[in-house]
Amino acid sequence: MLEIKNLVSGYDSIPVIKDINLKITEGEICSIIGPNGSGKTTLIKVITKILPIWKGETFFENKNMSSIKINELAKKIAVVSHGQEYAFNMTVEDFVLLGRIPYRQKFQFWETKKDEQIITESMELTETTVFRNKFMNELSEGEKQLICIAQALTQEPKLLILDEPTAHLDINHQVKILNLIKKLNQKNGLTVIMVLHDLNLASEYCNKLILFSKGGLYKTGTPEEVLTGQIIEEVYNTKVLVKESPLSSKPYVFVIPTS
Amino acid sequence: MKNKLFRWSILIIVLLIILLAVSILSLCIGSTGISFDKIVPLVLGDRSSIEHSIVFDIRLPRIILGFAVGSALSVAGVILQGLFRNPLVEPYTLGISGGAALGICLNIVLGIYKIMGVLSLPFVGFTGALIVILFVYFLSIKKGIMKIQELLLTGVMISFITSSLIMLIMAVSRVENLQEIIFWIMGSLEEPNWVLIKAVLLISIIGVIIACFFAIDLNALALGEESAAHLGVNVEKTKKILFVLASLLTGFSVSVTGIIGFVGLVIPHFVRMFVGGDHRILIIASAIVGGTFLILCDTLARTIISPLELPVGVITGIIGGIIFIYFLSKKRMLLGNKN
Repeated sequence: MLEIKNLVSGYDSIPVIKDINLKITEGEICSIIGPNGSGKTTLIKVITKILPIWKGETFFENKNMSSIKINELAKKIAVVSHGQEYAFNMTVEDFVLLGRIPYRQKFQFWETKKDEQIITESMELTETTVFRNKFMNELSEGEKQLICIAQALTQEPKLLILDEPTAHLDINHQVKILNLIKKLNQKNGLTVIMVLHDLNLASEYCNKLILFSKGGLYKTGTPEEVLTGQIIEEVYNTKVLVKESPLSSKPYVFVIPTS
Repeated sequence: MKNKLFRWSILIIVLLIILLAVSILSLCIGSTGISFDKIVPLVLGDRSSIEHSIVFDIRLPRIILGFAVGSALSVAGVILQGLFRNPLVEPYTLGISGGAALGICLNIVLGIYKIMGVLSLPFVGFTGALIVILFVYFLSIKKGIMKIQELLLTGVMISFITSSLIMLIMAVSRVENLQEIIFWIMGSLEEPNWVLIKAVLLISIIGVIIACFFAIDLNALALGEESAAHLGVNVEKTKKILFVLASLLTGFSVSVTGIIGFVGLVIPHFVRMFVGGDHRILIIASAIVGGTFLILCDTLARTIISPLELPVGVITGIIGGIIFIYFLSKKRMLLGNKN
């Protein structure tokens, strides 16, 4: 579905990601992990055409992404950003409605019946219908995150990208959000890429991990292949103990406090 | 959502009725009072009377100009606040008014209008505004990307520079020039030239219509530039068009009427409180409310100490300021999640 070849990109004149090769197949749920500043968010910005490509090529559904218009891309790829801002207070319904922007015709001023139907569907799917007429600033962080996912779903994407979807959330909301994402992946066939900092959540929910280190791809593979004590120590410069989770038999990372 | 359409239609109808009522009120009252029941016959015929000439040659032009400028400044305010995602930006923040004022001061001091005619004042004013717009625009674009925060800072700095230059000019100019400069800076809806009034009205209406086409893009921009891009909005193109549109609306208004403050800052806030952050209704409602507000302020300005006249900028400043402080105490509604 998504293929990245020899990609180099960055900000101003400093390259942040160097020579990335990556392939995401349809139906995958994968997580990009790696230390702060290793290029995870930068990669997402290149995939969504926020940042220009310096070298290399990206393909989406076998089509070179440089030839896909940003408006067309928004119908295929939806992004849930980390810490979504909104300058003026609005109702939840109006916020979710913004996800229909890629589908509007030229000079279209009013939402269609179909738009309304899709809003209703995506709010049902994310179990946020009760918030429909509330204002955004009346919601908790966890509820806001669910609304952001609802907005992304109204784009009817094939690929959903989430940047730290569980940051600043309590464990109840962390699990709720990740369960929802897993459900969307399994039942609705959505391909998912998410940036996660919690290695254990990444291990538990994803079937593929993409480990970044210093702007390069360090290792790609199943949680069992990527999350080993040796690799984590090398990339994160932190000693850890990795055991098998008694519930799912996925790898589980324990930090080792030093005095 | 049918519900929303219904609500908005009612709102627009109510606002238009208020606009009409304020306009009729403004036609009636003044140093010569004209009773309401005389207005209709005056409109229909009877062109010879003095009252006809008061209504059509003095008051009506002011009302039309007031509406045009009030709506132009309000819509420019809505656009800029949306673009900068900052509720404190107004059309004059970017130094456009400063450019116009400087142009007109130079014109007065150098006596150009005595040779070229009075129409050279708005012309030079607009030239000054245009120079500032181009300056701010090109300074803020780096590698094809418009840096919105740099744009704001550059504009504020140009504002300071122009106002200092104006003070310099005022300090060295003669008394009669000084009076004219002050009169112009305070702003007035007195404009004897019908062509100019029609031009401003036309530009305002076109500006509002264009702004409406970008309403949904402004809604997307409220989420931040990156999120807007994720939704398929061509952010760079939109920013540039909207900046130029808001600037031209401001530039035209300022060069004809002088600096009428606060309309572009307060009206968008006021309307946002009642209709919410959706720019589709915000733009239309702000245009009508802004126009009405300025007509009302101008009516007050010319009646409070009648037959003398207060500068309308003074009235908008006082009323606008009070409204603004009142709203600041209800900040939660205005600033969304930030507080």
